[in-house]
Amino acid sequence: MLNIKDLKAEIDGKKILKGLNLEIKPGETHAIMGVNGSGKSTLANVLGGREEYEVTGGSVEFLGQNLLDLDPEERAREGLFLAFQYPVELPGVLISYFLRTAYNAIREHRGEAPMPVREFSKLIQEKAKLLELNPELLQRSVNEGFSGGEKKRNEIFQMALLEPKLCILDETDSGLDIDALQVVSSGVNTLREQDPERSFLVITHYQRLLNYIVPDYVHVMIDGRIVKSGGKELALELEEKGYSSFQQSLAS
Amino acid sequence: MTQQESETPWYESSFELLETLVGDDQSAEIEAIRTKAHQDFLKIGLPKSKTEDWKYTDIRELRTRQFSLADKGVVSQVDDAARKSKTIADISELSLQTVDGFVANNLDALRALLPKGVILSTLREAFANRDSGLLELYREHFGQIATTENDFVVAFNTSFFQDVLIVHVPAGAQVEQPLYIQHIASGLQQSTATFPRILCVVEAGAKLALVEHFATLTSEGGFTASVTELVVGDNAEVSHYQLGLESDDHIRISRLASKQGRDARVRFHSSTFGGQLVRNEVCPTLTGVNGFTGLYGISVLSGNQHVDNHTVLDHSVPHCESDERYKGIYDGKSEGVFCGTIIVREDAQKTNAIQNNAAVLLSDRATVNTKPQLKIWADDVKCTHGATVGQLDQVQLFYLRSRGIGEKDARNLLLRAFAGEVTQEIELDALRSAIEQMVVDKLSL
Repeated sequence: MLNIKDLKAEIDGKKILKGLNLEIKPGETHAIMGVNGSGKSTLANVLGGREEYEVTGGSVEFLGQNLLDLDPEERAREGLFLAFQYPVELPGVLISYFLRTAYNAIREHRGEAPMPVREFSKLIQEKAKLLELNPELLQRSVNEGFSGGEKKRNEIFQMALLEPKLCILDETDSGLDIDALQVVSSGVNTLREQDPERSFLVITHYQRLLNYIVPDYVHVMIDGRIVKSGGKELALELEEKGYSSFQQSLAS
Repeated sequence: MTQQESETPWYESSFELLETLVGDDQSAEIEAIRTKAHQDFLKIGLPKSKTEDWKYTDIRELRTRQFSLADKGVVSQVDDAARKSKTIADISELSLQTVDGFVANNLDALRALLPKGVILSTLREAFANRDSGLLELYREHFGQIATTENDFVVAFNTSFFQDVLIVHVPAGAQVEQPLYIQHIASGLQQSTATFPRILCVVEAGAKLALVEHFATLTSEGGFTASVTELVVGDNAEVSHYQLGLESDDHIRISRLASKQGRDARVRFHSSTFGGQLVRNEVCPTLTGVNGFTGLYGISVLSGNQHVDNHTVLDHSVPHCESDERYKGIYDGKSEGVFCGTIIVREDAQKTNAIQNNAAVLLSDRATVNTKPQLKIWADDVKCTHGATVGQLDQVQLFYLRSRGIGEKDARNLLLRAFAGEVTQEIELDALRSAIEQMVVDKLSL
């Protein structure tokens, strides 16, 4: 699905990713944990195609293609989805219109005809239920005036609608209370069950999320590199001992 | 060119050529008004680059280029189909055209559609019919809000106007369909100068929406200086929509002036897509308590186009509210100017005035000059103003693209949403849809 080799990236001349390796196979869920500033979100943004980040070395292969050659919209159409850490407000852009435009752009890429308005409206009502999203929100501008929890749920709602092959969740859990966290996690788990080939990269600061979205692999990221990988028990170890123990073992 | 500049400019030599507007025995009245206006006009002269109000809009071309006055004979050379070729469908049955400043329709058919007591006439007709009631209305109001002293635009129009369209809505009358006026520049003569003029009196409790749509039939450049006066009675409701769709070599200066009584609600909306140089001047005065004035504008320009939205909003009485929002999208080498003055006079306590101006530049060569001016003499008021100029938000653009939406579609979606904050203030559905489509069409060029 995704194969990252020795990836190096910087922003405004500041080196953030310093040789990162990661392979995700179809159907796997990987979690990346790390302190603030370790480069977790940079990785998400680089994979999403944010132009402000400059890739200075390494390679990223996504479903057999060179991901770094693709524009952000091409990545999305090929099946990559990035749930934003800070979902963006789009005043004056209605959610329903925004989603239909995105949905049909992806269909067009697959050589399918655009979905008629009525059928599409049924589809989004259905997906909104999955995320317990107030249907009234669908009549509003994208994320405008949404609470923090509503914004994050809206991200997973879009993910459910666009049915990507690889889902990247960039600190989707941060700032969520336990109820919202459960809703978001159950939405993600439904997507996992729906398609056994679908892969997930869950970037988080807190172990708590991983109680709900149980990963197959956990990676610890420090200073732009993955310093330790393991099974889901690694998250618990991290919770117990803290990041400093890994930093120390790295130094020694 | 230097040789030409030393010659007498066209507007001085043309004044002698003006035809009388009404019959010989009545002409003295109009001639006196025009002559006075022309004297005022010559005294003021064309604004120079040093003139503060015209600092960012250069109209020296009006002096160096030769324009000529419209010939009434031209009107009959533009057939019905051509005259109506610019009409936007479904806006109103109350649709009429001026051609080069002359009202071209037989107004009887339109009068039949108007509620009882509403008058739609031309000044020529009023004189020809010796309609004393209408002439009295004209004498009471014409040139009262838009005065020629020290006012270049009004003096220019009043020197040369060829007719006046008069609308009178009596107390309580509700005109449900908008009055849709298309000002057509025929382009049949070279560089024609036209001077449309409207006087609209809406009495207490009455309602009217007016649409003024400026269009050109050819790409033959011309010049238009229009003036519209709106007298709005107590608790009346008036909306004025202005739409600029001229060809890219037309110059227009439009003045909208209004005064409104207590509890009256007046809204102005200007949309500018066409023209080489367009100056929309909107000058409302709130003269009765508890009034509301809305001032809105959207401009989408490209190439070498220039628009100047110039507003002077005068709060002269207490407890009034105003909402002013202008937006512009500028591509190519186009230029946008916004100069918004809000005056809050000493008596105008409890005024609540909002002004906002925002522009998006799509090209490195496009420019915007924005100048908010608040002149506040009262001490218990709420006035806010803000101006933003910038490029499209890159994070918003990335968000849309990350969902599979192509760059161009994403950009247009954001720009439409940006414009939408002012186009949504258009209360006429057919007009709003048409203008929203124009935003999209202009951006996809």
